[in-house]
Amino acid sequence: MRSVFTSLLALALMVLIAAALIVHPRAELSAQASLGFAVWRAQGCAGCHALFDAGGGVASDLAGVTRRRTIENIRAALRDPALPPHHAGLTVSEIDDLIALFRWLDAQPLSARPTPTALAFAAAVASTGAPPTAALTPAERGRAEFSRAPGNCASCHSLAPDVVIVGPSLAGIASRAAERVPGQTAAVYLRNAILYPSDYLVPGYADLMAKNLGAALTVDQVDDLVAFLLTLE
Amino acid sequence: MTRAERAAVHLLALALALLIGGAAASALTAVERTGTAPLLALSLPSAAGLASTLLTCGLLSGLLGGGLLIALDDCPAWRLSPAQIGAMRLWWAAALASPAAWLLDLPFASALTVWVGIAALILTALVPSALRRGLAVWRAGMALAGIGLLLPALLAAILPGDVFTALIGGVIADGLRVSIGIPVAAVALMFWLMHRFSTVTPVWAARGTRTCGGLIALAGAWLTLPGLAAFGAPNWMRTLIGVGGFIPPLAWAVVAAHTYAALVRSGMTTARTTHWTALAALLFLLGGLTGGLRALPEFAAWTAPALSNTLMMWGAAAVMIGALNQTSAAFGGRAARGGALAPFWLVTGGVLIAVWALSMAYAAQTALALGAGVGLAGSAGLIAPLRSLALVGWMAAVFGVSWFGVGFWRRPPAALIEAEQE
Repeated sequence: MRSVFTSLLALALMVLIAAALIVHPRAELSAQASLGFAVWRAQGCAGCHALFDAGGGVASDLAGVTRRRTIENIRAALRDPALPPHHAGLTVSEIDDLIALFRWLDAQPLSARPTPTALAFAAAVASTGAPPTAALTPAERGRAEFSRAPGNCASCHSLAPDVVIVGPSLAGIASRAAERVPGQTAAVYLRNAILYPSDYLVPGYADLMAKNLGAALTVDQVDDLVAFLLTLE
Repeated sequence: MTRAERAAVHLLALALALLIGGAAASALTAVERTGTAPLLALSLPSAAGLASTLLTCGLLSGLLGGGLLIALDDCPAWRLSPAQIGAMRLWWAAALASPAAWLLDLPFASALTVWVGIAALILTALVPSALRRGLAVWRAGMALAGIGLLLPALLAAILPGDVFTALIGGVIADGLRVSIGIPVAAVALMFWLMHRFSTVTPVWAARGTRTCGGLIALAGAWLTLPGLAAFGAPNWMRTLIGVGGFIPPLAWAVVAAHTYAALVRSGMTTARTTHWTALAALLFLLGGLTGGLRALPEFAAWTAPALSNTLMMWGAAAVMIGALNQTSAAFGGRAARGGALAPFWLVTGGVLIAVWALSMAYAAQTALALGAGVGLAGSAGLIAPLRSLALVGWMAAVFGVSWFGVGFWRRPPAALIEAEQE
């Protein structure tokens, strides 16, 4: 009977090793991406974030992040003091190295393959059944996005002056946005307000806005929403 | 009561304390996910990591204590050597420091995992070789769990710049720890318990340990394969993984059948070990079933990736509580019953409700994404009741384990009290 356990255990370990060797992609890491990987390990990023469904499970899977977000967005997220303390401790060089790692990963053929967890949600983008919107202007598309999933902005923000549903009214936001945060243009402020709502809170309002719009919305959807909000003068 | 026996009971008691903490951290994670306590999310950003660390340290403590009990059963004359006492202290330090570092969100928290793995391996190696065959299966399980903890750091040291090896190594490490190592060691302890509370013969238990231990190891490998396939498996390999999807549920069904055979021969035992063993078999079976579904492409998108792992961990926790209950019964009359039935039903109901609610929440989000094009933010509000139900489940589990713990610490085994008083 001893051999039954030993044989099955050996078979199990061989299956794992063989599978690992079969799926192992071969690709040379660039020098800066290599430094980025050292930062990834040293900062314990994998404690929260996954890559290709591996590790993490608490925060978003960062495989394909450079296709979902702009580099400026990623850079801003890595500097965001409202996020876990590991983010705030990163130096500018470390952030650059991490971004080089993400760009390198997303340039690999592997990155084009959907991971099991991402499968359902990626498919959803293609199966919304929404009418074609290519002929509309960004502001018109943003107007449509404003009142539908995944953003559902209209459920909390009114477009009528001084009407408060949950968050502040967005009537005239294009005129006020540029004055909210010194050094930020109206477009930059609005983009940050969607992606990182905790960065700046309108006085008198609690920090209740969804924090995952960066994952739920595509880059184009965010652009469209910003374009629409900039028309609200 | 010898020092080795006391060490085993203390390890099981430590495991119980860590398990209570792990269940509480799971409840905190559930509170975070409901989105109703943003301040909590900010003050404890790594509740999920803390829960996982507490559960891992707790389960390894309990399984180490269980291994000592198996060894002592075979070699009653065994006495702890200075090296073994030192290893025991190293384990206590590592098992307490690691969750504490996560709780305080210290940057080196994940590095302490290495020490937990090293301490577990040293202690496992120092348990004397016994004639009882179950100990070899237990030792193999503990060794694989320890290697699973060490593997990521090992790969980082050997291949510092190899991203894909690190990622693939991480998947294998998780598989070795959660799907193979801990379940195999837990099954060895489970069969030892069966032999204690039931009239099944030692030969039957030994044979069952080896057969089931081997099957569980193979099933664990299959539970790990879908994670590896994410790195770009060829079609034939994906087909093979899907075809072998029956292996995990079948392997755990075989364990459940063995458990049933032992339970119907449980005789006149007054301990609640039978209940905890039955719960463990049920949770393992459900874990195998959900893990097997993940291997099938048709079900992969609908099955929460963490569900199988959660069920496996709580299955092992049920075995550990059963071992503590049996030990209490064996070492002294005052704690013979090892707690009433209420803690058992609270844990059973709580864990089952929580995992059901979480799996339904995941399936609902998937259905909304595929069918209605509703993204994660859009469906977050719709699944809030399920998140709240999961929270209720985890709270019930915390309450149940705490109740059991209070019962144990209020009435520790009589032999332990006498030994402490000497």
